[in-house]
Amino acid sequence: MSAEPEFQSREAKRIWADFSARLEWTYRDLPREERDEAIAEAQMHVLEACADAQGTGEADRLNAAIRRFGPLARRPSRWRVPAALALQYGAILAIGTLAFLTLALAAMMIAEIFNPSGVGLWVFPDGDWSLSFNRQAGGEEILGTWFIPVMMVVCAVLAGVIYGVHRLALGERNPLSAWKTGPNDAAS
Amino acid sequence: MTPKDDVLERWISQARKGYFEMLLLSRLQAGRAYGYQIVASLKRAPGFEALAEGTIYPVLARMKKDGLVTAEWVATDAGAPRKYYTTTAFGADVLTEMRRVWKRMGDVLDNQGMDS
Repeated sequence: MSAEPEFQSREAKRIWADFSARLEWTYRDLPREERDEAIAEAQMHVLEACADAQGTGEADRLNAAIRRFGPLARRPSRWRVPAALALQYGAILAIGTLAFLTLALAAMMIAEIFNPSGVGLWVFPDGDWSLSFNRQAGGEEILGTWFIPVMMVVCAVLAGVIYGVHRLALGERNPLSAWKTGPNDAAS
Repeated sequence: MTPKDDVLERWISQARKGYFEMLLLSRLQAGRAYGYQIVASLKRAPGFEALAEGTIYPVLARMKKDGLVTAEWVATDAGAPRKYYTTTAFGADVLTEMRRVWKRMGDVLDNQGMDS
């Protein structure tokens, strides 16, 4: 059912092929029959608009008609797929790790209530330090009663980082969203 | 752009979404039409002058699913077939109700019926 216009210029043929490919991509989530109809309908529309458009050449008129039709999704470059996937899986890994760390610190805050002399941030004479549930021989606990407030601040910061990573890498506009965008429903 | 333009543009964008289907139904009640014809009519409505023409198709598809319109491909002398849309009885009924709401809104805006 798709339209096969007979453009004369190579430029117009290229623009038409690009427009058709973008239509295919935009409507890719529709069932086959609906997609073919939607593409054919859009192509007929642009061909008619092209015939009515002002311009010196057919490429200019076709461009004008496509502009009036409105924005269409463009298939992203193939090389971006692995990069986006790596970023997304990296974000999932980072969120998991940070969430585990946050939970561990939260567990230490609870343990601090029951074992205040053991749980803490221990610093050793050689400069090493350790977050521990148990008293560390040779080490000095430096936070004391500030342990819970400090850990609460650290947990809040970690939660903020988790939220930020989620927004950037897994939210609605995540790097993979370009591959998931359906046709625009945009009376906007 | 002045603050007034900014507010008006935002309001028109919201309002346009609200009465888009009513305008489409209204156009189709005047007679069956295909996409390009519908767009030409629609562009005469305030707020629709710069309408991205492709945006009507997802809305028409949704209206078809809702049973407000039907569509059929019709062969033309020019060669390429066109998809014509027609309102259904249900669509006409919905349009009547939409117009009633629209009229009431107009009455309220004219300060009539504020107390009713």
